Amino acid sequence: MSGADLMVRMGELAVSSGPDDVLTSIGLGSCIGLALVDAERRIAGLAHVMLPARPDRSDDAQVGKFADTAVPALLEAVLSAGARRARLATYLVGGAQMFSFGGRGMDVGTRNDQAVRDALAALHLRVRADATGGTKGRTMRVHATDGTVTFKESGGVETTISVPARVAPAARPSRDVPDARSPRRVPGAPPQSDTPSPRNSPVVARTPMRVPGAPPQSDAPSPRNAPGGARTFPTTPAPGPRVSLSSTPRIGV
Amino acid sequence: MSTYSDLQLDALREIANIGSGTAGTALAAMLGRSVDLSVPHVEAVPLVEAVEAVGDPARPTTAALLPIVGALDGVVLLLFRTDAADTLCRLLGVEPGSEIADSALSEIGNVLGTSYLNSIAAMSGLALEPKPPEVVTDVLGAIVSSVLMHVAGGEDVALLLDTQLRVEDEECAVSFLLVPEGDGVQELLTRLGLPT
Repeated sequence: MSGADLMVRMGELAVSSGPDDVLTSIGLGSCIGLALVDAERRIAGLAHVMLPARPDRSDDAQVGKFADTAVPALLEAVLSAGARRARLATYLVGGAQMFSFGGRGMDVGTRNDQAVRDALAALHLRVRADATGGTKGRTMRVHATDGTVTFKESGGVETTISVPARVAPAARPSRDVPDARSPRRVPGAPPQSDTPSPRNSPVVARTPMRVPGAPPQSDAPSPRNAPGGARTFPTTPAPGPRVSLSSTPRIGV
Repeated sequence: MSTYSDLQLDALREIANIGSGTAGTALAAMLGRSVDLSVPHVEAVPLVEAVEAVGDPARPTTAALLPIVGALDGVVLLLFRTDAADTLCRLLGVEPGSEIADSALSEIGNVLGTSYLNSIAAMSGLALEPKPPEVVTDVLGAIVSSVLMHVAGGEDVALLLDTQLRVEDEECAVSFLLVPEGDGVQELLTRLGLPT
């Protein structure tokens, strides 16, 4: 099964409609590609932001065009698609200065970058990884299926900037626990070798959660649950391999 | 949403035709080769579709950009496929990809862009001042979107005046693009007797 390849053009914003969709913005110059990803639900949103702020007199209906309107609109869009706010990973690509325009450029790229970050901060969304600035255009791809975010500069190689969802930010250690190889696995559950690659494991991990005979899920919230709904499994360590979290590379953070 | 009448677009097409004719003559003189001109394509496109209106956004492209200031603010953009830019350098006796190559392309941008602007200025009576050219190699989408953002970011429609120049007997085409700012277009049309 292959998902749709959705092009997000200048000033547009889009949310994946299927779990295998890929969102692409080709040739981000001074524009910013802003991605919000819930890797566990396999929902991704991408906005191709052109300018820092909507002018006062503007009646421009394109909310994706301006940083100050695109950020809340994209958040709203991924949340209505079913993403969980606490799980959202935020990525920024673009904001280069391609031309100086004879000194009249005022570096829109840097201003865009800052404006998007300001708008994110106002909504308490933290940037997990980015690739911004410089003088080269970049093409950005966001894979809903596993939350992978890549960029490629003209003539360069495809580079992954996303951090696997399994590796939670330091502030939220509880998110690390739901793992396919967690002690919840009971005999009869699908073998671990189903997991095709480490970065797919957050997706696969959801499947064996409801194994018959397993203790009640965190749907009945435990006191240690994070407010944002991140699951905590206060179980004692059980036999079986565990993934060492520190072994997962964090790229480009 | 800014729109232009057919008559206005015809007038702009004529402007682009004369401007690029002059630029084509200049290119032919530089290379000692004949240069063919396409019929100019003039289009007011929604900003979101403007990059695709110019070409495939992923195509590797070398651009020479001349900012214009004065009565009409905007940008003249010469777009070469990167292989066409190499051909052009070869025709000028310059090694493609070298430091001098960018300088040569910049000079081509300068000569072509200013010839184009001179004929528009002469026709319309507008004082147009080009700034020094910049040469950039990147994918088309990044180049065009960055230019549009600068020139037409506040608008919802971008006006593109596009002509192809083709060097005879060579795989070498230049796309010649004038992207004026909205207010400048109104000024230009007023001078041509076709105010909105």
